[in-house]
This record gives sequence, C-alpha cells and structure tokens, in this order.
Amino acid sequence: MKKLISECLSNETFSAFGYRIVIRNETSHTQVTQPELISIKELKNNGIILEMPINSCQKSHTLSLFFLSPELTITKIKLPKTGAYNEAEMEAMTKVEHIEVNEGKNGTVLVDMNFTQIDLKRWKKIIEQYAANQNRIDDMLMNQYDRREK
Amino acid sequence: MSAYFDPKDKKNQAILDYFEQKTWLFIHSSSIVRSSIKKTITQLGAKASNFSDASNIEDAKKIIETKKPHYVVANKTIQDVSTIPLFDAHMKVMPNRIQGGFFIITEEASQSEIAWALEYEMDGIVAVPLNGTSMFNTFLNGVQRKVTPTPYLLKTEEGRVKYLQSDLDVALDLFKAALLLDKTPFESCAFMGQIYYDKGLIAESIASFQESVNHNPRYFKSLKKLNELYYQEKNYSKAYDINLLMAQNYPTAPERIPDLIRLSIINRKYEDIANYFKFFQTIKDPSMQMQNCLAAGLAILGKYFATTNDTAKGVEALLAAYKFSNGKYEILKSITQSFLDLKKGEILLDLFEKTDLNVWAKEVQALYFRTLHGTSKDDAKVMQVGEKLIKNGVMDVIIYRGMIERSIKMKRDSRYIENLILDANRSFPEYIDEFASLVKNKSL
Repeated sequence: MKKLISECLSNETFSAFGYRIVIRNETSHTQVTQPELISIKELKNNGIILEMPINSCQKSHTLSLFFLSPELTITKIKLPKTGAYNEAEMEAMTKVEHIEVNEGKNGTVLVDMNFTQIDLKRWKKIIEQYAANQNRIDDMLMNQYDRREK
Repeated sequence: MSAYFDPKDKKNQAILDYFEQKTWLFIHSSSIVRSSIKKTITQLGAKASNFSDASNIEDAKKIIETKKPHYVVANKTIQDVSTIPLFDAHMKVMPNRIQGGFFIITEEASQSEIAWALEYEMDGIVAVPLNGTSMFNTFLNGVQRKVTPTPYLLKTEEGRVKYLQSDLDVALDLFKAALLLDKTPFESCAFMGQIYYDKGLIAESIASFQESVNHNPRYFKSLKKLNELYYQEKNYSKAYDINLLMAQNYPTAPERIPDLIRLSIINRKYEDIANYFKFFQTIKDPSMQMQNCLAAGLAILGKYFATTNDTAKGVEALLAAYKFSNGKYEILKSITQSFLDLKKGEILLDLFEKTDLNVWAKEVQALYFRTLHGTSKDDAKVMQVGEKLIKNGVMDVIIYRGMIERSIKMKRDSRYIENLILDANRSFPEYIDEFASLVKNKSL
C-alpha cells in the first residue's frame, strides 16, 4: 500500500477521457469541425446519438463521423471535402434517423443515427473502453459497501 | 441486456420483484435519453406504468413532493441548474434508502467527478455517453444490496429515518442495536458519529467515525467527516492518515491538491513535496480548472521552497505557478511574496512586463507595482507607474505606501508628499497611522 498521499496521485485521474468527434455532412456538403460543439450521448450496438449544433443535418442525411483521440492537440481541424481524415482514429458513415431539439441546451439537437459503414470490431472496442470506465466508477462507488474485509 | 443476467433464473427473481414494485422519476431534458434509461430498467423488471418524467427543476420538485417516487434518476444539471438539491428533497420524502435511492447522470466521465457522488451517497453514476449494457450493470449494482437486506441494514435504515426526522435519541438507540447485528457495522458507527457531532460531543463523534473507518477503511462518508474533525481539532497527523486512506481508495479531486500540499508541509512529509513537484511537471494540457489547482499548489510549493532557501526549486515552482495562474489575484499575491522572499523579484518583474496585464483583473496591477517597488532602482519609473495606476482607479494600499516611500527618497516637494498622504488617508483611512509613520521615520 502506498505510504504517501503524493504517491497516490495519478495522471489518469486528471486526464480527459473519451473520444471527440468532427463531422462531414455528405448530403449537404457542410462540416462541423469544432469538436467542442459535438458530444457523444449514447453508444448503441449499431449506431450513436450525438448532440450537435442545430441545422447541422436533417433526417435521412448521410454523415461521416471522424473519431479523434482526446490527446490530439490540433487546434484547427480541416476536413477534406471527400475521403479519409488522417488524424482520425476511426471513421464511420451514418444515416440520420431521428432529430430532437435539445431543451437542455439552446441551439443544439440530439441526433439519433445508425451506422451504414463502420469497422464493427473497432466500434465494439470503443464501447468496451467506455464500459470499462463506467465499471471503474461503479466499483469505486459500490466497493465501499463490501463487507468481506475488516 | 447484460450477458450475466437471466430473467428466467430463479436467483434473479428477487431483483425483478424489487424493480417491479418501485416507482421512478426521470429528470432529463431529452426524451431520447429518458427513453434509453427506461428501456434499461424495464429489462430489470421495472414497469412503465410506474414511470414519471420531468424536464425542469420545478416539475421535478412537484413530482417528488406529490408522488414520492422510490427512485430518482437525474441529470446532474438541467437547464444549467444543479439537480443536487433534489437529492435532499427526495431524502425527505424517501428517507429509507433501502426502499428508494438516487442515480445521477453526468457528462463528465473523469474519475475525479466521483467525489460528490460519494459525498451524497448516490446509488450510482451513469456516465454519458450512455450504453445499454453499462447502464444495466450500474442500476443492478446500485440496488443489489437493497434487494434482500440483512437485519443489520434494516435496523440501520430505521435509524436513518429517525435521524432525518430529528429524533436523535431514538435514532441513537436504533444504531446501537444495529451494532450488534453485524461484524463490521461501519454505517451505524458513522451515523452515531454524526449524531454525537450534532450534539456537540466532538470526542465521541471522532471515536465513532474512527471506529467506522477501522471496520471499513473505504467508507467515504466516515473518511470525509473524520478528516474534517481532525482538521477542526488541529490533529494534522491524523488528518494526514485519513487523507492517505482516501487517496489510496479514491481519485483525488484537483481542487483538494493545494490543501493536501499544505497538510504535507505541516506534517513535514518532504518526500510528498518533491513528489507533488515532479507530478505537476508531468501534467500535459491541463484544463482550466486543473490550471487553477496547479497554480495554487505550485504557489504553495514555491512559498515552501522560499522558507527553506531552495532558490532553484522555488523559482521553478513559482514560474510554473505564474504560467497557470490565469491572472488569479490571490495566487499571484502569494507568488509575488515568495519571489520577493527569495530575492528574485526581478524574475517576476520581467514576467509582469511581458504580460498584457490589461486582460487580468485591475488588482493584479498593484502586485506588479509592488514587485517594481521591491526591485527597481528607478524611482522615477516607480512613481510614474504608481501615478498611472491611481489615475486608472487601481486602489491598493501597496501603491500609496510605495509612492510615499519613493517620494521621500527622491526628496520630492513637501506639498506633493502632503497631498499624496491626504489622498492615501482618504482612500485608506485605516492606514492613517502607518502613512504618518512612514514620513516620521524618514524625517528622523
């Protein structure tokens, strides 16, 4: 067991977790290249729900999603008009199924989309990473009630 | 559905029954999110007819008061308003936490977010982005121990209800009875500690919380309260031990780091100090919040190194503190004093003069003046800067003090000095005697 408080500090605690996303709308030929404007709300087996600026897309639009590592420090992102973005860890193509105005945050919508093209193995790994983070949180909250040790 | 939960398995029947009889309130502005959560707990046996929704705080409060739902699942903020006060509101209507509970949904997925959930004894944090399987496990883990509660837990909850009804003596008796029902009754010990504290019996309170921690060194509620109590009693050695237990089991929230550094200094844990310093240097791209904590922590380290005359480390820490200070006055005040104590004010002066101080709060310019006055041989420049700051409305006694001292040194016209002192007295009447003594001392 560590004997000093300072030895217990971990970089992991203070580092940001989770991917950031930028989007290219293949239907309207527009882009959202500021990752701080997009947040991932739900991970589904075959799709994803994102919060993004209003009017970024409409129902049935095709979107290319580019997943960026949280460590990526590029300040200005420029997506090519077509094709891959080299800085992205992963890409996916989606079709917008449903859009809901986000009452919790003005000027944003929640967009429910299904994948039309994705590396499912890599997607599964991403889901597992997020699940592992949730498990760590669950353990921290619940292990304190563990009565096995004295 | 979780791969590990079979609703047809008889051993899971108690869980399904538990969820089936519970009523739920979902507090989130998005119907998509509320649907996802409902879908998950329906798989655990909850019934749609037992669900209520709220998309704002007022509706949530009304539903809690009128319908008294067993469980609340709330986003941490709704329309930029914190939902944490709803936790207390829910506790009032559902004090028995075996019968009910509270889950929070949070956008921040970092581990340091957990501290407040531990403090409020939340039953679970659902981290966004949501995921069906993960959510399932979070809800299941959160209620598992409540499904078939032991006699000890039942008695403890009885005690909690009485405590929340302010019936302290009856509650105390119930907790004492609960102690006999479990080998490690840390929850009941903690409640007893709280009751003793409420009654002003600090020694007894400490003893009970300590007993709780002895039974379970991970029980956050007791660790937190014991830390507060040891600080209150100025027992910094014990406070260190408790904080060590906390740090061993839970991530340290960045805002706690400055206090932890102070604690290490008080306890002469010099290795800690060296470690903190090394640790801060490894943090890349800290967030704004982290920068504030780093700056405060580094300023404390710089001050410490100044007291031990470790000039090189002191300057290094203070330079880093300045970099992360973002113009925060209190941090810069500490940095200024430490640089002057180290007799390295010229390094800080250079930093100030290279910074656009106009983007920071006006008060910081007084610290620039102080540094200038403390290091510069150029009397005229000091006076010029001082006059400009006063004209721009930067009100700080440091400026008047410095200008009076320099005016006397420069043998300025006596009328000028008198007017300066009149102005100083008007702006800072509580320093009249000090300003007078400055002139008197120089006249002797």
